[in-house]
Amino acid sequence: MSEHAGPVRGTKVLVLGRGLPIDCASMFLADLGADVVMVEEPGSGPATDDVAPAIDGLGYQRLAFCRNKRSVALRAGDAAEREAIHRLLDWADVVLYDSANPIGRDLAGTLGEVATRRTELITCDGSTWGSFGERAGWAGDDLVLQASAGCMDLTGEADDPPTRAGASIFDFVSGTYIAIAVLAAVFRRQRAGAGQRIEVAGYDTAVTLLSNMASAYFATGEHRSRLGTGHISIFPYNAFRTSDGEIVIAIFTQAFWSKFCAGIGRADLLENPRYKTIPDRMRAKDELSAILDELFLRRTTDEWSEILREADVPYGPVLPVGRALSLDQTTHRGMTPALTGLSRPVRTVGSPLRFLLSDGSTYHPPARRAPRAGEHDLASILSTSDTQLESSGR
Amino acid sequence: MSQSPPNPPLSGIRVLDFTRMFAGPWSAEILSDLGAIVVKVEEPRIGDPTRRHRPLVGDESSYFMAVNRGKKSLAIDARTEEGREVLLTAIRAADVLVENFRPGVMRRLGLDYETTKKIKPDLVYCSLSGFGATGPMRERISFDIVNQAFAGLIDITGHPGNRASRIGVPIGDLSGGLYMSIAVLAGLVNRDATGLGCWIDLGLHDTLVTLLADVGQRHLLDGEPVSRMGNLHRAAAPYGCFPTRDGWIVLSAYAPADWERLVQALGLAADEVRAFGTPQERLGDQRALQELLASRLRQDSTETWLTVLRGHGITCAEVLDIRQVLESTTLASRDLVYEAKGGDRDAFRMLASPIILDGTRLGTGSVAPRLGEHTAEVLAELGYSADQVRALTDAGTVKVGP
Repeated sequence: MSEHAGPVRGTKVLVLGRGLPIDCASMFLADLGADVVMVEEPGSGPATDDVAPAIDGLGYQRLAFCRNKRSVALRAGDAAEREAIHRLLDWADVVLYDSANPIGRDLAGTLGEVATRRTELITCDGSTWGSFGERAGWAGDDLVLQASAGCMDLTGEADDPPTRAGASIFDFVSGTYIAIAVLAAVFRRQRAGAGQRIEVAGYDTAVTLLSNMASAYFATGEHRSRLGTGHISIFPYNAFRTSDGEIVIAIFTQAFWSKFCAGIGRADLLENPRYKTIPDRMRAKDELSAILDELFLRRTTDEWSEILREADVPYGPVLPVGRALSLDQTTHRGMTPALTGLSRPVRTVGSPLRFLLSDGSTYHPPARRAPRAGEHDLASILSTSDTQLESSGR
Repeated sequence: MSQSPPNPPLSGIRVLDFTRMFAGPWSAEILSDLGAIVVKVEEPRIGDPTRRHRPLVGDESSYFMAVNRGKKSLAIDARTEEGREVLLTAIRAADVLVENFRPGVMRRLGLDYETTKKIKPDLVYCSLSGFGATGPMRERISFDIVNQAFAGLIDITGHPGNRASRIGVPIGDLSGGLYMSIAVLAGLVNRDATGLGCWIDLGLHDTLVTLLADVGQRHLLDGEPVSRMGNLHRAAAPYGCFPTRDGWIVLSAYAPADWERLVQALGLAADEVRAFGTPQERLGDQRALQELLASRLRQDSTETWLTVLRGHGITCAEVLDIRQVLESTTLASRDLVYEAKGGDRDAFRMLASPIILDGTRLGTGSVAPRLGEHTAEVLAELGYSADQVRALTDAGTVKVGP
């Protein structure tokens, strides 16, 4: 694979400082072929950057979010190094920053000046709380957003404390929205030549995820809290314990209910008028639950998987991370590529984006290992930019 | 803020949207917010199944309204030869096609990528299915909870020793929708640069697996079995959710300077924190640390603690339920909620787009269409005469509504 390939090859993206939303956003852009350079102040990266497990001095967090990028170490507080940052701001097509980060705050004025002078520049502020509103400038992270946007209250068993989603989903969602807004601006710039000032606050993206639950609340004034794996108006739609794990089923149509009852050898449930419709099953949830709880405990997760697959109803074994990543489907789809450039092969969670072009060629993002902080020097970045542009054919 | 941006990025771009339910419509709504003309292709009898989902706002589904804002509805039977001819005409006039059927359905309709490419070579075509169009599980039925289970997300969510839990927001669908928007936009950038169209075959499973990112990387680096840890962090402490006298708060204070300030804020005595002097010690005995902090935080109210902790520069927040979030002054101060108005409907509240371009928030201007509301308009734009539209309507090929 050519180093300068991908749908947005040739687009130069500068990332001021670190933070998972802009780390994620710039990773998506790098996966698509953008030339991404992170400006890192020595010692200012996330505290978790160096935490083990690590390889070649690169911690797992950095490996997971910084692939396919370059890194320069520069301090905005040092006059000479600030000058270097200015040159990079002139180099960039897109600048990602977080206005609540020290370096983002520090350079906000400069960025405004550069954007006024270079009207084609695209800038995007990906802070937690945004540039206006009652918490503008406050610090925040994924945990704060999971609490502040309703997700923790919605997650966990009913008698559990509020529960954090096991993955940093809000950093990820902020990152995708930043990437979406930037790509739209790149498209517009390609046509109209003009840049754009973008703001994508993590808080706004987190609240947006309430989507249909928010519109239901606005329509009725009613809302729910956490239900474990359960559903507010459908049953069975949840996880059941098996003899060796858990399995989820989602019986959300009558057709699935018929197939389910036949498949598990309980045609009697289908004929029972108390369980006829979805509202009936919700009303009889406790007694039906007791029947199914007892039934599912009799076999292993693998045995149930086979039965439910045969029955052609939606089901899924609750897989641990290791099995999710080693599933035939996962590897067949190329989702765990080996990172290149490390002292021993290490796989990573790759990009789901693969393009079949109309001329028959394909593009699947590469997986070059994350750079060490400050691994690349300014001169090479500024000097390679022109040849990269030529080779990209832009 | 003004109602709609003067020059939205996707103005003039035409999207033919075959998606239904949640993930695909969510993605196409983002494209609509960005200024694209999105024509939602719906089967003429009941349309998108979510049109029937309750609760209602007026006589329409609040669920449907939440993910179909700003689109035009073309109600058409794609299974008839006449319907397919109309759709091929629409594809010739489109820039983008998105669909989220099970793999193979678009081929049966004669509208798969290989077919459409022949009549529209630079079309950007994105498919989103449960597991993608290749691999041993490609035919499987998927649904948010099913995909969360297969991707390992349920197993890592919840408290150790207790049942696993699904994530409370429909992230299984959302992640697919967000990647679909990224894919389409990248495809458009590439098309304008090279003249080439493309097909992107997205699997919800793949998009959900990417959420494992750092958690997955830990496992892939050293084979560590990773499972749920409640509200604790794998690499940092203190971090998590704590009870107060009247509610729950989250806080994180793992950097050494933050820890010092937290000890001050909570008024903990030197001998109480002696065992937790270094980051390694704090991470090493997290449960004892959690209990120490919880016992102190339980003694006062959420409001008091938030004031004290913020006064000491500690990152913290109250755990809010949906109502508290949507009625909060914080949300109001972001102008994210807007009053939607359309046709003869009473105004109702909706969430706008989280994207702000040149000072203008996107997605505040419009509502979702009624079934077939734009059939006549779309057909006229494609060059169909009033007589032809009437003939198609009489044959039941299209529905002009409402």
